[in-house]
Amino acid sequence: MLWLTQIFGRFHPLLVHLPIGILIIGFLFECLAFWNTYRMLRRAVQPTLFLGALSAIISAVSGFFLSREGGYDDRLLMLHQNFGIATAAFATLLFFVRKSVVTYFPDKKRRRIVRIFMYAPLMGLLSITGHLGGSMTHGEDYLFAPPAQDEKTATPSVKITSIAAADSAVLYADVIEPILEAKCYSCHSSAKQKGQLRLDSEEHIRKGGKHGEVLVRGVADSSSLYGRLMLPLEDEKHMPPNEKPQLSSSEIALVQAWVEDGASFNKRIGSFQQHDRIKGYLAALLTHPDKDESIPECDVSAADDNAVRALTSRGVLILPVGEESHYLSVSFVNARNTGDADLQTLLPLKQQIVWLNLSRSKITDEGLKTVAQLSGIRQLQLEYTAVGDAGLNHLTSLEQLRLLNVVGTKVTDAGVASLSPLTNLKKLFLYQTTVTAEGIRKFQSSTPAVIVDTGSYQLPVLATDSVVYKRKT
Amino acid sequence: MFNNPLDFENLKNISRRHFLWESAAGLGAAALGSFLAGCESRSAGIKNLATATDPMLPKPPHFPGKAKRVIYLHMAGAPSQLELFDFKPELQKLNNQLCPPSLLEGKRFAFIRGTPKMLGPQADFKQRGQSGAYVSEHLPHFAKMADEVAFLKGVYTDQFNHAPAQLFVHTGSPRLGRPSIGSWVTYGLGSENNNLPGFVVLTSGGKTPDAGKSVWGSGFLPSVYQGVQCRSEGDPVLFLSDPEGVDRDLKKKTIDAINDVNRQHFKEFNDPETLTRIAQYEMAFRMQVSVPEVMNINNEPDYIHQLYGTTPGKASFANNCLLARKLVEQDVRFVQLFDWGWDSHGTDENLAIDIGFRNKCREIDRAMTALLLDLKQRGLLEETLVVWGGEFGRTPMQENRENKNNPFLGRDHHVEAFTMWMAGGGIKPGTTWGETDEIGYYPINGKVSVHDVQATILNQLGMNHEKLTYHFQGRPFRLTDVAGKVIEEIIA
Repeated sequence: MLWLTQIFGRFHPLLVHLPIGILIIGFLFECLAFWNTYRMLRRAVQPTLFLGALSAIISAVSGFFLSREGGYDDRLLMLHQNFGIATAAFATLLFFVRKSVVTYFPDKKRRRIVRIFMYAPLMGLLSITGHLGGSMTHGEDYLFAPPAQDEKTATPSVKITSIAAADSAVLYADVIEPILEAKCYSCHSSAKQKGQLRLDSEEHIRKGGKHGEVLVRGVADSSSLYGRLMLPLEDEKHMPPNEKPQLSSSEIALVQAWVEDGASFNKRIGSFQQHDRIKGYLAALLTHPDKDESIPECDVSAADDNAVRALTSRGVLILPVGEESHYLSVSFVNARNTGDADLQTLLPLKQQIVWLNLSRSKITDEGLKTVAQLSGIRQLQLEYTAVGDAGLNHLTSLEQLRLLNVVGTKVTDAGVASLSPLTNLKKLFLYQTTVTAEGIRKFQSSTPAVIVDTGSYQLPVLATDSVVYKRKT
Repeated sequence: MFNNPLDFENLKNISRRHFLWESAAGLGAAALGSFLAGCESRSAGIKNLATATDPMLPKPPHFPGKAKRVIYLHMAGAPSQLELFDFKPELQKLNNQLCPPSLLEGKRFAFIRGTPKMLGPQADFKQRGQSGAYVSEHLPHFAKMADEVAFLKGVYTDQFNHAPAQLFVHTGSPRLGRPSIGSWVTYGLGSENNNLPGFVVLTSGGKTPDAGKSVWGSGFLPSVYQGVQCRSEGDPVLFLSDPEGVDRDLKKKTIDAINDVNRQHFKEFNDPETLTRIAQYEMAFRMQVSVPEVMNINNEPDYIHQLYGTTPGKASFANNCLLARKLVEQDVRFVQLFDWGWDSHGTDENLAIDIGFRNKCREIDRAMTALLLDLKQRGLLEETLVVWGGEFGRTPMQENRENKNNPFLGRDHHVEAFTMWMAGGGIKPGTTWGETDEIGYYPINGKVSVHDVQATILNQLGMNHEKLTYHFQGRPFRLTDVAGKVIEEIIA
């Protein structure tokens, strides 16, 4: 018998939609019936109200059974329950008294208006009950909360900012608790207690939930707090549920390390036996991906089609950097005969071009004057072209430049020196140029952040390079 | 009867057309036929709209990717992680002891039978660089690159035989018929350089992989996306020079005429394979000029040959590494290297973990280190993802084929854990993700599947592995099937 009521209870989320829909349609019929065109609807109102009231009662009863399973916020539950009962009661009342209006209001028109106003409390009750129900299943701030953050852009939730300070931090308070807060609290805290489990305090975590304790100290594999995370994503018991944001591998590993060490709520990271391992995972968590600077954050307007077509027809490769971006990557790999004059055709796209590859083309220093006007460029590849110091001089207007490749060009120390105003420059490739170590040292003294690669790597000849291993005889 | 398979295809086409036009329900059937044909051509992938004339036309990635190109170094036969990267001192203590039954229960091995003995690491290890990653003395040059690469130490697979495991690594399925990763990538992104194939395959070690050419095949994708294998000895591509008496203009005219006919054929039947044929004719014509230059390592300066340890004219992994650099320098999208001979069972001298294996290590050590350095100094490593790995790992137990001692020291195929590394193309340098237990049997954390690795490769190229699909036999297919998770931990 118990299981029957349980199943009936679980139909509540489905059944509640019946009274909402039916009662609203009853109300709409009543409104429409105000006009004579729709007066035939008047006869439909009474049976609609009957069905509405009946389904409201059934919903209320199923809701009662569902509430016995627990896992919901008590305050919200009581409110929702009382409003639900009131809704059912008022719908029933309306069904019985609606007809008797005739006796008090003989005037037809007035009678119709009074009837419509009689629905006001019912519609109010219905809305409040529905909203409370929604708050219980989706969380209280569901309606007005900002859209869920993209998993990738969400920063790690831990309260540690640098690994150096990790030793003196408390693993639970500074790492584990914020992880739980970010990934578990929405269903297991004061707002909601799915499976009668709360994870928002030491006491609650120790107490466990409907299926018993979640923590077996020292044995991660037996602790469902950890074990559930490790179940396959499609497993029904996997936590967090499939559609919710998941813990990253490092976060899972930190939970594991914490449980294995006895799940202390006040131990500092430095005193954990595996503190090196923990710090390793923390490091992985903290070095959240560097902000991608290869393209600007805000998108631009779409590129001029004619300009794109003009270049494409000459074999120039123009592609958006990504399907949904208007920024362009331009490559002359199939148009290596391009000379300085041809570069003018790039100018209409100067807002959109962020990556420009001119390597092995026929451009010279003169052409870089045009390139210098493409002020949005972030990556510029000029390998094996005829450009030299005079050309690099022009590039100082490319404030956004992050990467410059002049491998195999005539660039010398003077050219490199002229790049120092480029404050955003991150990487500079100078292999097969005549730039000297002294020139780089000078350049780096004012721009220490630039990674300069002059290449010419060699590998030593080792004795083992020529040893052929054979069976010992 | 039909000497030329194309004639046969033509006859089939005509008979279908006769049926459609002349049968009693001719008109209706034709309408239905064209309707269905319309569906079919559209279902061949949204991207076909853009590529109706040139299947290799470059396309934008789903999102801006860090890598534009991939060099995939596959060590066919599966190198031992326990002698290269996964240092297990505890295993040394267990050397020669019988393997506990708990490690054998419910397991199947390719050759191990009964109860094998444990085999300690047959190499000396040291921590390297700032990152402190362990690399064995077998790779003295590569050891210096520890801070440039990201190690994945907990890769696992579910195939313990070479051919299915290689197919799994390269096509996402252990069975034949799926497109290889290079095909998926060229299908998704096209090829930038008009004059060279988008997907080039180079082999070394004397044999091609056990799984055959399917590991670079295009599966159900149009065959224009299959890998183009270049010869590893002599001319990389045969018959590049024009035959006597045929000049380049005449050749061009001939090819134009053939392609015109093929285009009419395509208009009529809408078969993507016709496009492949057109593209191949044009590509072959252009390759006559581009290939001799790109595929010739003789023109490289001496210091480059010294760096790689290359000997022109001799088939070797080193030559292939140098060629790979030259190809990505010309914007070839995907370069796949296979090096054969890593199957260290201990059945003979060449396959002994303490003899032949070390020779294999020597063959790749300098070359792959040089490849990374050379890419780095040219700025190519920024946009080129380099992947290294085998199809599975090797057991911590010594192989005992047929329950007898093997003549040499060796290890059997191990599916539970093996090591791969990636570098460049937006991979976080100097990281290690994943850890195995004390004897290197199971991953204890950072366990990643073959599909995870594939998802990560596509991600670095700016592609969402769940969105890169091709409609075939009534449903969309993916490289990563219904699995795969991008390994965020190794992404910069």
